[in-house]
Amino acid sequence: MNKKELGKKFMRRFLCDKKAMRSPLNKKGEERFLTPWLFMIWSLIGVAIVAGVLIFYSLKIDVRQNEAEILSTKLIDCIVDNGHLKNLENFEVLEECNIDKDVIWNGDYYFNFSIYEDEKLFKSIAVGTKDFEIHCKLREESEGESFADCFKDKVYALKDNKKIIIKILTASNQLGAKL
Amino acid sequence: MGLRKNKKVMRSFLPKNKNVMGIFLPKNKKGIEILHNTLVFILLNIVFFAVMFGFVSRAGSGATTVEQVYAKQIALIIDQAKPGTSVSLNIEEVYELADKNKFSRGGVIRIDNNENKVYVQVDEGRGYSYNFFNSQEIVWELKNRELFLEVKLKNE
Repeated sequence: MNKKELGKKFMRRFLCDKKAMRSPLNKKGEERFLTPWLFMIWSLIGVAIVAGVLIFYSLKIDVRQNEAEILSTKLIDCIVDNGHLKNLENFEVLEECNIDKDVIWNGDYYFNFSIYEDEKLFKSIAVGTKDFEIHCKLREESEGESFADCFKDKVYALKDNKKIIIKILTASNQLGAKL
Repeated sequence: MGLRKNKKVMRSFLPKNKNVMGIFLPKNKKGIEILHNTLVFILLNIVFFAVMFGFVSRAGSGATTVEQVYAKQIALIIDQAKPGTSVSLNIEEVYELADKNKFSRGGVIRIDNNENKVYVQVDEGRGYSYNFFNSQEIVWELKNRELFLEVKLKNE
């Protein structure tokens, strides 16, 4: 049997024509798996699964960025009053800004604000998971789902009628919990 | 004996004219067998697809997403609110899902001031919780189809 004949035989078996049905080599199991219809069905199943998974994951609701932004606004509102920096001596940032200590220290949050006077660091306060500072730097370079979401802001204010700069960095990695 | 009796009964039901019989009983029995196998297989596939698409569409508008959306939304509202803020939030969607799952409407949303957590639950044995960092006292109440929130100073 030459190559051409072999090829024809294979095609007949593949397409399940009448001659192939009569062939002793054509077993019922082969018929079922070699039918092009079946290939189409399996590919459709594959597409459905992929589509399902994609839709499911795209529905993940991520508010970490918004949370970091809210935290930042809250802190600025708390340390700056009418454009003037409050007196930060013996300043209990969590208590003064109405931020819950237990929540901030549960490992999902971080904030750091640095106050610069004449381009020199005057005061810096950092609370929470310090690792998030590295997460924020890494996030600038790469997209990592497990990294915390960050928010950076720069605010100008007055201190003894002198212009100061407040640089603020907030981060959140709260994913919520199923009960 | 029983088999013969059955055949007799069957004959009495079937039309005597062979041409008419041909309509009901095609000659190619092997063909029928293949057709049946294929039909069953296609039907099973249709069922499978229906289940798959049902799952996907439920995932989009289902309990898991609604619980997450409301828990996070409420937590963000609380975080952003200053003392004296009152907010009313429509939670009709949560109630609808709770009714569907025969879950008590009273337990769909809980706000724990000690743990600083918002709990949203629309079915027994499941739910979602999200933390808020605002340390003020949150007064909340479920009324009709709305959730009333009031942020008060802690020592007020």
